[in-house]
Amino acid sequence: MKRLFKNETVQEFFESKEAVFGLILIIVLTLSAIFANFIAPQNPYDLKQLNLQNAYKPPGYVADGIRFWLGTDDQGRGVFSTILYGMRISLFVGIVSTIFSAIIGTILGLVAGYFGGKVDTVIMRLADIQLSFPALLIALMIMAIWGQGLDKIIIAITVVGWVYYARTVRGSTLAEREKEYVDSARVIGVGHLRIMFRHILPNVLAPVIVIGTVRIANAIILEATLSFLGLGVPVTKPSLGSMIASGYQVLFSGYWWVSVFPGIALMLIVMGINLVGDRLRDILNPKLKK
Amino acid sequence: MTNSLVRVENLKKYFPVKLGLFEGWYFNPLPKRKKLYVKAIDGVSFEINRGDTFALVGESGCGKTTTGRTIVGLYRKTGGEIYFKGRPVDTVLKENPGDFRRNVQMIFQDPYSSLNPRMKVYQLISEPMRVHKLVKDRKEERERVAELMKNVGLEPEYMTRYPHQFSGGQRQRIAIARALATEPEFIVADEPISALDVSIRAQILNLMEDLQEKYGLTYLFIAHDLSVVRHISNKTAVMYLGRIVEMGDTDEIFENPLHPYTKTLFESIPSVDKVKQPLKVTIEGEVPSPINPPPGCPFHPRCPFATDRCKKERPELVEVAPGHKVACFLY
Amino acid sequence: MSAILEVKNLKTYFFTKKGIVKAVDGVSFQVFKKEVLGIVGESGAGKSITGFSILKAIDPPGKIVEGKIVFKGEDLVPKSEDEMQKIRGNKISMVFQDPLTSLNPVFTIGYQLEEAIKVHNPEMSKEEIRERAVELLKSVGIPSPEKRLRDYPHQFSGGMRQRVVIAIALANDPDLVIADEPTTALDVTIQAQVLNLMKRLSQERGSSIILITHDMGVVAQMADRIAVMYAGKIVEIGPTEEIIFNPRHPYTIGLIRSIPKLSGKRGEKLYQIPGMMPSLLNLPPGCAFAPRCFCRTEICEKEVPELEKVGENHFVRCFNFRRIADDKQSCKG
Repeated sequence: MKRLFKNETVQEFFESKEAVFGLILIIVLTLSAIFANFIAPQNPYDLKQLNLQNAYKPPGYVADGIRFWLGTDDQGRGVFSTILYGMRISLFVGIVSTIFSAIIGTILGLVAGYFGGKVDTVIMRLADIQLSFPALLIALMIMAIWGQGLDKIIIAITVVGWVYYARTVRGSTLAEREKEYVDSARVIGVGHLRIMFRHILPNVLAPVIVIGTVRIANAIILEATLSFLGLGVPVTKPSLGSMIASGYQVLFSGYWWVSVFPGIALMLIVMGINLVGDRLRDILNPKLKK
Repeated sequence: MTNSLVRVENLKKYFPVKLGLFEGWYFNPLPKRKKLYVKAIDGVSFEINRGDTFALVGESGCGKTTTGRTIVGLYRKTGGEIYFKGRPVDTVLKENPGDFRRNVQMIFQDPYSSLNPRMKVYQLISEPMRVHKLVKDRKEERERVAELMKNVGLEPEYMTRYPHQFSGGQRQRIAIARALATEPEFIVADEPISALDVSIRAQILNLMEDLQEKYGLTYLFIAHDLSVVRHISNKTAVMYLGRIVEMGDTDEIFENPLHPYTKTLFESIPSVDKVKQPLKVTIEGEVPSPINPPPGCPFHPRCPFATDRCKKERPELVEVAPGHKVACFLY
Repeated sequence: MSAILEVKNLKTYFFTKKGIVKAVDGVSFQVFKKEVLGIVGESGAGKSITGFSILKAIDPPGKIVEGKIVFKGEDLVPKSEDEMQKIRGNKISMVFQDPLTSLNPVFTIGYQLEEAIKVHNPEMSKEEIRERAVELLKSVGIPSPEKRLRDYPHQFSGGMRQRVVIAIALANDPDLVIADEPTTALDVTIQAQVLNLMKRLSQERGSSIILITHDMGVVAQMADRIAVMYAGKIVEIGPTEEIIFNPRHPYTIGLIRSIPKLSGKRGEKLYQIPGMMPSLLNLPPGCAFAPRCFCRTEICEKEVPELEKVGENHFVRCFNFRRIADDKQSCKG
C-alpha cells in the first residue's frame, strides 16, 4: 500500500481535486450498492415487505415503522431502497459488459494491428459497419433477437462496446509494431503469440484503461436507456433505468420523486466515473505530456 | 570446411511504393499503374569469415541497414541467396529454425526503442534463454543472467530494474547482454554507437571488441562513421544506392581508396586529424532516389570522372588488388 | 579584435518538481567579429541551453537567474520580450538541428523566407522582398530559386531544407548566427556542403557563428576557438589547435583520446572515460568531473575549480592540470 502511494502515476492522479472527488463518489456509491441489504431500510425485492397502500407517498413519509426518505413508487417500494438495489444492477451490468468488451476488443485490435493485411481489413471493416449504426439501435436489434434478461443486456452492451477498444488498440499496435524491441524479439526467435501478448500488449494497455473507465459510464447509460424503453431487466428487479421509466409516466402528476431521485443517482455515478476517466486520460496519454 | 560463416550472393530487396489514394484497396476506381519499387539493395554479394568484423559503410538510404535486417530475417529477400555456414538460409530455417535464430543475433541502433520498456532487465536477458530452452531451471537462469550482466559491465544487482532507469550506454550494454544470451556466433550490429554520447562510445566499442575475443564472435558492423569502421573492422564494404562500390581489407581501403565515392567520403568526414583544414567538397548534389536510380553506374551523376560509358553500363565489382574490389570503369 | 557578444557568468536553471536543474551554471565567454566559436559537449552538458539563453528563448520552468549577455554593448538579460523579438531573426538568428521541424510544413518556402525579411524590414516593398528572397536562395545554392519559392518544405531533400533554413537565418544579415547541431541530421557528404556554405556566407557577410555540436571533428575543422562544456560549465576554452593538440583538462583529454581516428589501427584499445556524466539534479559538491577523473585529489571532491589561464586565450577549469603527466593519462605526484 505504501508503495502504491509512492507511485508517480498515483501521486499525479491525486493532484486533481475533481478526480479525487470523482473517486470518492464512485467508492461511496459502489459500497452502498454492495452493502444495500444492510443500508436499505426495506428490501424492495421482497414482496412481503411491500404494501400497495404506501404507493406514491412523498419524501419523508412514515409507514410500517419505516421512514421513506425519498418517497415511494407505484408498488409502495421506498425509492431510496430501490435506488440502492438498482445501482447494484446498473454497476454490475456496466462493469461486466465493459470487461467483456475490453477483452474481446483488445484481442481483436491486437490481432488486426499485428498481422495487418486481410485479417485487419475484415476486423476493421466490421468495426466500421458497426460504428455507422447508433449503439442503441444495435443493442435493440440484439435484444429483439435474443429476448430480455440480464445476460442478454450484458451481451448487447458487450457487442456495442468492443469496437472502441479494437480501434484504439489496433492504432497503438501499429505504432508499437514498428519499434525495434519487436524486431529484437523476432530476431531472438520469439513466436507471434508471445510477441503480441508478452511484448506489445503491456505497451498498449494504458489507453484501454482510459477507454474502459469512460465506457463503464456509457454502458450504465445504455443499460438505463434499454430499461427505460422497457427492454431491460424484469420489473420486479428494477434498475435505475426502469425506475426512471416507471416514474416518468407520472412525472407531471405530482409524483416527481419517483424518477428524479434515480436520475440523480445515475448522474452521480456517471459523473464520478467521467471525472476519474478524464484524469486518467490526462496522465496516461503520452501525447499530452511533454 | 571453409572458414566462411555468412555468404551473401546477389542479394536484392525491393520495397513496393504505395502511390495513390486508392492503391492497395480492393475497390480501385483508378486505372492500374505500373508498380514502383524502392530498390533498397540491388545485387549485393560478400562473404564474412569466422572471427571477422565486416563493416558496411555508407550514407543513409544506401541499403546498409536493409542488408543487415535481411540477413537476420527481419525482411524477406526479393532475390539472391544468403548462406549460413555454407547452407542456404531458407533451407536452414525450414529444417531447424531454432538453430539459426540462436546463432544469429542483432544489436540495434537505438537502445531506447530496442528494449521493451515494460520488461525488467532480468526478463529481457533471460527471454532468449527461455525461448531456446537453454537453461534447465530458475537457479541456472539467474546465474546466467548475472554472469552476462557482469560480462557487459553491469552490476547484477540491477536485474530487477526497468530500462528507463538506465542511461543510454547502460541500455546498450543490456541490449548486448540480451544478444549474447543465446551464445550466438554471428551478430549484426546496426550503428550500435551512433545514438550514444561521445564519451560513452569508446566504452561500447571496447566492450564489443573484448566480447569478440572472449566468445569468438563474428560481427557485421553497420556504420556511417568511417573512423569507427577503421577502428573496429578488418574488412570493409562501401555501399552506394543499394550496391557495393568498393570492398576489401580495411587497411587497404583506408590507405588506398580507389572508388571516387570512397575518396569523397574520406574527404568530407570531419575529423580531429584535420584541424582547421577547410572541409573539402569534391562532389555536389545529393544521392538520387532509389525508386528511380540513374542508369549505368549509380554514382555517375555526382562523379567528377564520369564518362559516357558510365551513363550506359553498370560497372561490376572487379578485383584490382588481392582482396580489394572496386566497381568503377577507371580500374 | 572586438567582441560582439560577451556572456558573463550566465546561469540558467530549471525549477522542476524534482529539484533545481542547473543546466547552465556560470558560463562566461566572448565571441569576436567574424569568428566561429565551437561549443562541444555531451547531451545534458548545457550547450544548447546556452544557445537558447542568448536569445532568451527559455520557457518555464527554466529561467535565466543570473549573469549578463552583452550583445554589441547592450545587456540582453533585462530586455523585454518585445525588444527581443526585434533582435531575434534580425541581429541574432538561429539554425536548428532538424530542418523539417524548424520549417512550417503548411507554408511555402517563399512565404516563410519573405516573412522573415518583412518582419524586420516593414519599409520594403513586395517586389524588393521577393527579389531579396530569390537572391538569398541563390546564395545558398538552390537551383532555379524563382520556381522553388513556391514549393513546400516536404518537396525539398534534407540537405536542401537545411540550406533554406540557413537562407532564412541569414535573411537580415545577422551579426551572430547560433547553429545548434546544424548538420547532425545530415549525411557526411551533405554535411560538408552545408558547413562550408555556412562558413563562406558568414565570412562574406561578416557574421559570427556559435557552432553547438557534439562532434569534435566538426569543430576541429570549422571553429576558430572551442569551448568544452561539462555538466553546465565550461571546463576548457581556447584556440582550436590548442584544444585539439594540447588539451589540458582531463575531460577534454579523455574526449579527444576516446574518439576513433581515421589514422588509427585496428585492435588498438580506445581510451575510455569511465562512468558517465552525473545527473544535473544530483551533482557532486566539488568538480563535476571528479568522479570520472584520473587525476582527482581531495580538493576536487570539495571545491569547484575556477577557470585559470594556461596559455594565450586558453583557459582551463581544473585544480590539477599542472600535475597531468606527459602521457596524458596519469598524474604526477
